[in-house]
Amino acid sequence: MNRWQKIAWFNLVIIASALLLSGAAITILAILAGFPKALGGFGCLGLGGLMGLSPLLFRKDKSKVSFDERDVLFARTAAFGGFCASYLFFVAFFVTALLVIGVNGSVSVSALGIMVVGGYITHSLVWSIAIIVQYGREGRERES
Amino acid sequence: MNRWQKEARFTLIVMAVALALSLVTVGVLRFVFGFEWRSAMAGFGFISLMALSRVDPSMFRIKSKKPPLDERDLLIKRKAMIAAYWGFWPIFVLMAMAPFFVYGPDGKVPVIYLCSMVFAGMFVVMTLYSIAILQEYGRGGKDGGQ
Repeated sequence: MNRWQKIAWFNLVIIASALLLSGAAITILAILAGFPKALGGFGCLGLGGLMGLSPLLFRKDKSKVSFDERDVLFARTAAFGGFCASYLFFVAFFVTALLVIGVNGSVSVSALGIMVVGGYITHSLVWSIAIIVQYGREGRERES
Repeated sequence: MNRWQKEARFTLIVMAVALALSLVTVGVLRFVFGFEWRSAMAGFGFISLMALSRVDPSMFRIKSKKPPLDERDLLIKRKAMIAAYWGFWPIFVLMAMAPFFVYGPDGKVPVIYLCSMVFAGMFVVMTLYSIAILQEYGRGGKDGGQ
């Protein structure tokens, strides 16, 4: 398993944990305090910030070439997929807001922050899945 | 000049016309006819002209017997798209965070603002993508000549 695969798996675990914790927190808060206070459970998505640690946890091995043309192609394809997915998320967010609130409605400023965080998580999720799928799930295709 | 370069140049022209028309209309509505800013912003409806950039890809169809796309073209296309999204993200985040500083944490923005964010994002992506394509092939069009 190479560095990018490790980062992708790390990101997937972080995202899954953040989503699960957020879901659990929202459910518990909804039962205890009701909406809209339960939406505070989205704060658990902040765990996604741990993904920023991945370059530190999985450092480059300077003693050997760890990135060839094939890796560059995989990385570009994954980045492209991630960006497309995040844009689709933004469009979906806008359409949902339009349908739920109406054309003349207004949304809280904090919802914009949630939208950006959601877009980032979507990007990271699709990037990680694309990396893992391209290299192969077992990690046999790219040993380093 | 190959198909991607022609498409990119056409997209840039359409974008520039759409933006110029929108700005001129907003200015005319506000300063000539005296509409309020909120009403004058309707002039940005002209930005929808950018849909023309995708109206007829067949006009760029290659007539030569050479394969329409090789690996280098795909690489350039992919690089341009990634560059466009790298440009889009900071602008989008700025647009999302600006109301927080303008209206405060308890403020609200109209749903139409989200619509403008999505459209502005598309505008930025398409413009940067076209610029990156032209830049990658070279301005003279010699590199991707068909």
